[in-house]
Amino acid sequence: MIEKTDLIIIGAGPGGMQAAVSAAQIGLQVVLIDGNPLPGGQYYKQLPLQFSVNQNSCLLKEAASLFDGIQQPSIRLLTNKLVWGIFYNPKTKLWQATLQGDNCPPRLEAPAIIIATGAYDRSIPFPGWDLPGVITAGAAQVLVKYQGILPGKRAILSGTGPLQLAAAANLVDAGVEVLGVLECNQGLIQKGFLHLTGILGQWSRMKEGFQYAKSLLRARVPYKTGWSVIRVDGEGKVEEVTIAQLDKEGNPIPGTERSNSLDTVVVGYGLTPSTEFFRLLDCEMIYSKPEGVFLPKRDPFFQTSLPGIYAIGDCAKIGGAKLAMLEGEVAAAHVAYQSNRTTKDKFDQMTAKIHQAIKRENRFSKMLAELFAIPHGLFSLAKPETIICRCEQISLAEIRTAISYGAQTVTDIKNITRSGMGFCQGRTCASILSQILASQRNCPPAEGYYLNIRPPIHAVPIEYFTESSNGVQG
Amino acid sequence: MKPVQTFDVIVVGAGVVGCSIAYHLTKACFKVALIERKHVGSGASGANFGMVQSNDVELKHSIPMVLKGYKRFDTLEEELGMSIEFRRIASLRLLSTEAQWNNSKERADILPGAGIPYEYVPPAKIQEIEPTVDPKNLFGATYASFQGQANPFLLMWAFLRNSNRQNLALFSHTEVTGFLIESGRLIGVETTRSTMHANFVVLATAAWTRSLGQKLGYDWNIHTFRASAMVTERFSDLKINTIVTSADHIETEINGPEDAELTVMALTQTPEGNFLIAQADRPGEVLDGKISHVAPQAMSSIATRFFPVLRNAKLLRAWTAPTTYTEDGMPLLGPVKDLPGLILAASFRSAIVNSPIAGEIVTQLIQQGHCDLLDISSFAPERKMEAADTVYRVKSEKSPQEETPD
Repeated sequence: MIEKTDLIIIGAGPGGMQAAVSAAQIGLQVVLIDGNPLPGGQYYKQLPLQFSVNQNSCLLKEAASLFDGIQQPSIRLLTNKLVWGIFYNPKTKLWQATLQGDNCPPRLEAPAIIIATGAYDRSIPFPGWDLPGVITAGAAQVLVKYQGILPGKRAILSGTGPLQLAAAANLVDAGVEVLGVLECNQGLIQKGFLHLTGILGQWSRMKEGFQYAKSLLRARVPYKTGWSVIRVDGEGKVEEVTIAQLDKEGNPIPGTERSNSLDTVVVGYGLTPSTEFFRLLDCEMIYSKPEGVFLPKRDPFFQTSLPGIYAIGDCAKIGGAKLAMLEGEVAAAHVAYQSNRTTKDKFDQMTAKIHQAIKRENRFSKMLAELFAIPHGLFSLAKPETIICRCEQISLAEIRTAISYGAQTVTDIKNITRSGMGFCQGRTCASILSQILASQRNCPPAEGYYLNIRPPIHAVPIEYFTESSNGVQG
Repeated sequence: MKPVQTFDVIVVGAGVVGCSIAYHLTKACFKVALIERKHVGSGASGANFGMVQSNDVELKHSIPMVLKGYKRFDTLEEELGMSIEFRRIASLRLLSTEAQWNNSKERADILPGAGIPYEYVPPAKIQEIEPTVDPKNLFGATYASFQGQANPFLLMWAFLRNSNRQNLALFSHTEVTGFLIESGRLIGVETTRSTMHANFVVLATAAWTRSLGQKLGYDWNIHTFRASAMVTERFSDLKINTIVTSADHIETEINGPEDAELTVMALTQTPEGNFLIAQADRPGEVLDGKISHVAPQAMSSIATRFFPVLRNAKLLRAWTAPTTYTEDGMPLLGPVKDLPGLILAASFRSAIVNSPIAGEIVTQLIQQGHCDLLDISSFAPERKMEAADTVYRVKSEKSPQEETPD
C-alpha cells in the first residue's frame, strides 16, 4: 500500500517550514521532507548535533518559532531523505513522490506537493575555475560555519551581491587571510538611489550587512567595486590569481591585471534556482533574465501550470527567506482551500494581507537583482581550452564546435558534446551553455530553451530499486 | 498573417530518419525545410542505445533493405566527415527455455543464408563470449555477430552538419498544425512558426505519424508503446563484450495490473564504461514521453538478475520514448497513393540501420518519381497488414506467450 497524506512539502528551509506550519494550522496532514540531517535549509542551517558549540546565532533565534512550529503531530518530518522523482499516478489521480533514505516509505502520495528546494551557487567559467581551491561563497560558509573546516589560508573573494560579504566576514572571523572582496558591479551607490522605495522597511537586513562590513573593516579587507578575478593558475591546485578592473560591460580593462599568490578563490555570482522538479514534470517555464534560467510559471497562489504542484521560494525565483515564507503561507492556504478545508472568505482575507507583504519583498529582491546583475563581459572570460562541463570535461572549444554544426538549443549542445549529461545533470553548466549559445548565435538566451532533466534527480544506487521492489514477479 | 516560406521539400520530424532524408535531399541540391516539434532527436531516436541492428529484421521483405543500410555504415563516417562513434559489436540473446529457442529457429534458418550470421550457442559456450554471465539456469543463447553500435546523436548531427552546409532550414520547436491541399495535391503545411509551401512533404514522424495522418483523414496502422532505458555511472569492475538481451519477460506492478510494466532486458556498455540498461515496455498507445514511476524498478530488477554486480552501480538517469511497431513488422515507406506530394518514412523496426537507405529511397522518389534501389512495394502505406510471425508487441498479462524479437 502506498502511504497517502494531504500535502507533501519538499525542502525544509524557511519556505518549506512555514508552509508546513501554516498548512497544519488549517488542519492538513503534512509530510515535510529534506535531504539534510536537520531542518532549516541553507538560510537557517543548524550545526550538526555532534557539535557541542552553543548556537546563538541571531538568525537561528529568528527561526526558533518555525523549528518549534514543525514539532507537532500533523507534521511528519523526514530528514536525510532524498526525493528522486515526482510522478503522476493515473490510478489514484495523486502526485507521487519517490524517496530514498533509511526508514522511510519509498513512495508517498498526495493531491498537492509544495516544492521549496531553494537555490545553489551560480558560477561563471574563467580559466582555472575548475582547479581545487576555487569554491563558491555558499560552500565557503558551509565549510567554515557548519563543518569547522578552513578552506585555505589565503583567500580572495570575487563575484557580486551581499552573500560574498557574509562569506568574507565568516572567513575573516575563522582566521583566513582575506586579500580582498571584489564586486564586479560598479556605481552601486548611484544605482541604489533608484531603489530607495525598495529599501524602505528593510532596515533589519541592512543592519545585517553592516555587521559584515564591520568585521571586514576591522581586518582591513579591501572591498573593490568594478573588479573581478579573471584567471587562476596552479599545478593541480590554486596557486596564483589574476584580477583585473572591468569596464562598464564587464570586460577586463587591458593593463589593469594584477597577480597574487594564494590558495583559495571564493566565487559568488548569485544563486541559481533548483528547478529540477519543474523541468522533470514539464511545468510551463519562462525565461528569467536575472537568474539566467527558465523558471516555473506560477499563478497568484504559487501554483505551477500543473494543478497541485506549487513552487515557493528561491527555487521558483530568487527572493530570499522572507519572501519564501510568505509564499509558503499563501501556497498552504491555497492547498487547504482547494481541498475544502477553508471557506472562500477566509482564504481571500488571509491571502490579501500576505500579498501586500509579498509586494514589498518583491520590490526588495528586484532591487538586489538589478544592483548585482552579472555584467555581460564576464561571460567571455573562458578560453577555448577552459572546461565548461566539469562532469564530462567538455571544453568551450568543443561547445563552439557543436554550435557550428547547427545546434540551436542547449539540449542540442548537450546531445552533441555530452555537456550536461554527467552526474550533476547540468546544474552548473546549463545556464553557461545558454550564454555561450546566445553570444555565438547572436540571439536571446531564451531561444536556446533549457535542459530536460530525468529521474532520478540525484544518483541512486540500483540496489535501492531492487530492494524496495514490491510485487515483482520473476 | 503568418509569413509564407517556400521550399522544394518539407521533412517533418528530426529523428535519425528525418535527418538522413534531409541530408540526402540537400546533397541532391533540393531546398529543404526540416521541422521538429521539440529538439533534434527528442523522440525515440534520442532515447535508444544506438544499435545498428540486423538480427531483428522482419524476415519476409525487409532483409535487402537492412543489408544495404548496414553496408552504408562501413563508409558512413568517411562520407559524413566526422566520427559517429561507430563500432562493430555482437549481440547475445540469453534463452531460459527451449520454447524461447524454438521461437528463434526460423530466424536461425533464414538469416545466415541471407548473409546475416545468427546462431545457437550452448550454455557451455556462453561464458567464452561473455564471461560475466552465469549460464547455470540458461538453455543457451543466440549469437549474432553482424551488429554495430553508433552514437545516435552524433549520427543525427553528422547528417545535419552536412545538410546545414547545403542550406538546410532547420526549425526546432516548431509544430505542424495542419496540411495545405490544392486540387488534390499536398502543397505544404501550416506550422506554429509560419506557413510553408513545398512540392513534397515527407513525414518521418514515427510515433506521431498516426495523429498527423488523422488530420488528413488517414488512419495509418502504426502502434506505439513506451520503451524506457537508463544509464549508470561509469563502471570499471565489469566489462561486457556484447549487447546482451534476454528472451525473458518480467512483469512489475506497484499499484495493480493497470500500471504493470512488462520488461524485456537489453544491456550494453558505452565505450566510456557507463551501462545502458534494459527496456521496460508499457503496452498501449502512448505519445507522452514521461517515464513511469514503475520503470526504474522494473529495469533494475531484471538487470541485476543477470548481472548481480550492477547492484552497486549508481543510476544516473532513466528515460522513456514512445516507440512504434506495425502489425507486419515493416515500415510505412513510400508515396501515399491518393495524395500526391505526400511521402511516408515511418516506423522502421530498427531505425538507425535503415536511416541511410531511407534517405536514399526518399530522395529517389522525389528526384525520379520511383525507387530503383529496392522493391519498396511491400512497404506501401495503404497496404493491408497481416500479423507477422514475430509481433513487436507486449501484452500486460501474467503469461508471456508472445515473443519479442531481440
